[in-house]
Amino acid sequence: MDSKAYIESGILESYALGICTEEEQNEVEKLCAQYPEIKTELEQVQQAINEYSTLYSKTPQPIIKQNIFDEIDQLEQKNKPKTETKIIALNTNPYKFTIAASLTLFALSLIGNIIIYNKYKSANDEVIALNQEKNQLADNFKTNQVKLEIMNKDMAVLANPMVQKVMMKGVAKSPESMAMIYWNTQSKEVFIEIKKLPMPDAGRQYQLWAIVDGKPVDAGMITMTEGDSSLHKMKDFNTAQAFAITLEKEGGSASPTLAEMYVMGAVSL
Amino acid sequence: MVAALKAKERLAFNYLYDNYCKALFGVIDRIVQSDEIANDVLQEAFVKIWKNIDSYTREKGSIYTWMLNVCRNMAIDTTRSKQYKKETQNQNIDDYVNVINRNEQVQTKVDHIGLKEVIAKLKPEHQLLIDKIYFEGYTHEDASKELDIPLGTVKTRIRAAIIQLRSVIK
Repeated sequence: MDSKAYIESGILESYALGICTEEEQNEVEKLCAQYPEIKTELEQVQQAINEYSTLYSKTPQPIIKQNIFDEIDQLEQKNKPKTETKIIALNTNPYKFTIAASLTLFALSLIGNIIIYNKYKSANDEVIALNQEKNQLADNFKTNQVKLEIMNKDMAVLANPMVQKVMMKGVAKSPESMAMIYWNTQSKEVFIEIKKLPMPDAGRQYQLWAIVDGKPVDAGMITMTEGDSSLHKMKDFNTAQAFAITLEKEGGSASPTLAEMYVMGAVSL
Repeated sequence: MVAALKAKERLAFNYLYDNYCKALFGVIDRIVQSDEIANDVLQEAFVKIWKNIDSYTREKGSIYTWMLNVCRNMAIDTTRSKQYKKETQNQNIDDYVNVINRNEQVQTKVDHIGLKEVIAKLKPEHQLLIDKIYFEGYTHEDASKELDIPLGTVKTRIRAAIIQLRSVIK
């Protein structure tokens, strides 16, 4: 660029007098940074105008200075709290930011750890619960298997064509009671199934009697278990005309207490 | 110095005021043509300088140039305000003669030794051009119209005037 032509265009004078467009202003400032000769010329123009302006010097009213400083004081008062806190913050500890940052990170990591620990704990609890459930299921399975075995055995007993069924019905004392006798007349085995009998008081026990030739003979003690519908093997008998159950003292009696008879059934011939 | 000003140090600002208030007040007074208004503008301008000191950079020229521009712009804006026009208009109606006198005073108030000499050495059309632009806020277009100069040559005419001013001042 021809800086001499630029200088002679008169734009620098217009710039110094403040009548350039904004575009021209930017251009002049840009070129001043690039071309020292343009900058020097502009400075001389500005110098001349400055000196010309000082020729008009006149003293303002002395009160103006006081007014200006009063106004500045008010401005400062408005801004003061801000700057003061800033200065204190910087002076007390230059590492304040670092410390604050570390503390924040520490707090965040602490929170993170707590969250992870809680997750771990609940997962652990879940594992324990699942294990318990698994054991429960295994136990149930075992119980069911045992039950199934018992039922299979019972079924085998019941399915045997040599087995005679004797239904013992409730007598006057307990009309709703009922029990079944399954008697294998070949093997002489006697099995009992309690359908319904009231639970005995503590220290008392049901006793099965077989009526053989008109006389009651002890056929064994019955241990009651709630919800038990399986068969229980009793004493073997060659012959019997009837079966009955009485409530006796624990361990049984030599002869039945007839007043405490609950059920009775005759063997059909 | 500039760094100190940027820190808004009172002492530095005090120095600025003491050194430049007369020159700045003179320019403002020449523009607004009223001591009373000029005092107000000077006060306003110095507060603005204090507030905006951060926006001053070396690239904008000397601190005085920058302050001068703040004052000049504010003074010219004042002459264009409704309030100012109303006041001066009232004066015109109320006391036309007085205004004439006052305006003459402005011209003759040039009791400054330096100024008289400088003006005497300047070509009248150069002085008129500079003064119209500098003190009355004429644009290139205004100067072209009012002073009957082709718009294309206004810039070079201004340059010629300033060159003469430069030689006279030296």
